[in-house]
Amino acid sequence: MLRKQWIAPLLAAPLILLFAIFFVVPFIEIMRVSFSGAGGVMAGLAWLWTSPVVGIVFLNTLQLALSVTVICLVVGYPAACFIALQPESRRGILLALILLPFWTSVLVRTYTWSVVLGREGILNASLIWLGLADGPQRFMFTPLAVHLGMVQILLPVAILTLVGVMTELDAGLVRAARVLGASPARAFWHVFLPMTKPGLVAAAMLIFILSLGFYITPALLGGPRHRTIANLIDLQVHQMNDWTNAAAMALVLLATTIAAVAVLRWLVPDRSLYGSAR
Amino acid sequence: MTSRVTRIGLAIWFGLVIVFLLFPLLFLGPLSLNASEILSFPPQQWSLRWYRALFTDPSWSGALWLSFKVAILVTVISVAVGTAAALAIVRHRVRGSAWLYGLSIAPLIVPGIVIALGMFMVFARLKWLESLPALVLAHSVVAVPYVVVVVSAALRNLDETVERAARVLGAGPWQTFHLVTVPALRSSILAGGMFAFFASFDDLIITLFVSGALETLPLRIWNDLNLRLDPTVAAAACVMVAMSMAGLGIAEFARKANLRRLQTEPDHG
Repeated sequence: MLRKQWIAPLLAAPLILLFAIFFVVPFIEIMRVSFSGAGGVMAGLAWLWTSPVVGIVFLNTLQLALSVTVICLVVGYPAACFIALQPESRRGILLALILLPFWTSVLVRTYTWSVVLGREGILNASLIWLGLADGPQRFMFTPLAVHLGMVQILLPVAILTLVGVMTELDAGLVRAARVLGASPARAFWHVFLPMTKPGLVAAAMLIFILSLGFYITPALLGGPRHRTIANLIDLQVHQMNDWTNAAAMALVLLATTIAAVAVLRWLVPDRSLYGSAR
Repeated sequence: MTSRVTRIGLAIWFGLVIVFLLFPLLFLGPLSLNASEILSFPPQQWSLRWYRALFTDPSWSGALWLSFKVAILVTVISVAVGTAAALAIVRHRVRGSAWLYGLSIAPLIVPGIVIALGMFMVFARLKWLESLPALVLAHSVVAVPYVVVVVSAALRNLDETVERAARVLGAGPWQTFHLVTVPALRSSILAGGMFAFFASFDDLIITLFVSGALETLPLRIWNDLNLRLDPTVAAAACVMVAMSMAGLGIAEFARKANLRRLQTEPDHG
């Protein structure tokens, strides 16, 4: 192999250059703009504190991320168990069924929900046809719609992460517990579940981090009454033309994400978290 | 551990999850083949008119073509930049290679809207909005991480003694690289390239902030969704789904096959 001193920096140089200009400089610009508003250095931060909208949107985003995470774990865990219990030859096909929707663009998947849940959508048509509803019900622009959309997008992440952990752990330990007289329920609660805890934590944090930055799904399915931080940033830039507020908001989102990543690294120190997702 | 009842219960649960994950996508096909202007289900009459519109209406076919062009350029750049970086990280263990790996996967963790906003503000100052090269490089930042992750995983599994053997037998560094390392990694590079292609082809958020009047296919769909529901969107969505399932299916297959092949080579030491 090439072992000369200069070759490694040379190989890394294009990436460093690309990321410096298109990733690091934009960050510095966000920082700069958030502290250089027309109203002084602290204008952006002051807006964060005083605007009633920011607090509501921030809490709404956290609450949404949290509930989506919990739903994904509760729904995904048994599904991951099912895949992990199959013989290895069959797992590939089952995983493919999870990967198919996972690969589809988020915009397309969100769009299909708007077709299903809309006023003249498939769900309303079916409900009326079945006689379960007299007229069209409102599903769009409700928390239900946002949750359905986001869970459908993030559930594969939960399942793939959990299957990764479940297939790696030592099945012999569960068998040992059974041989030593534990009931199936006891073996599950005291042996299997604790062994999958790293996977649960990793999946939870991954989904939480990804949910925090969601833009498309809340915008299309939640409408103006269920905005997230990402939607508010977009609104500040494209409607209000207020870059200082947008940048300040972006810093809040970034800080929240970094905090979540730090907690994740602290809880699961030595795992390649992206090993199973894509 | 599992009784019969538990197993049946889990199977039913899994079936429901699959239905939930796939069911919205199942409506796309019939919707895109609906002859009527209004999105009705099930369609009364079938027609290919929305596909015709997608490929002939300049605003749609132009967007499709632009997306293709951008994604191809992004793929070429990401594969080159990402593979080089993976080599630096895994083979040469440069000082701070852990740091370099962290930097290269950071765009996967940082919310897209934050990256998009930062780029928008920089591009606005430099007058880069509406520039195709700037859009391509912006997409490359979110596409490169996939190449780095996939290729460096394969490199870690590739036995270094094979490369050393080639060197001992008289191959030059470049010969070793392109006759030994690259063929061994070919399918992982292909997989990374596919992921990079779709990171660009499916991107909406960065494009929404930096592309100005350049309209890619996702942006065309987005602009349409906010105005009226044109069934051409369903046809465009169907094309995107078919493309990503085929492309990423190939990528995943290639990646797994490559890792398996590298792992089954005999152990040394």
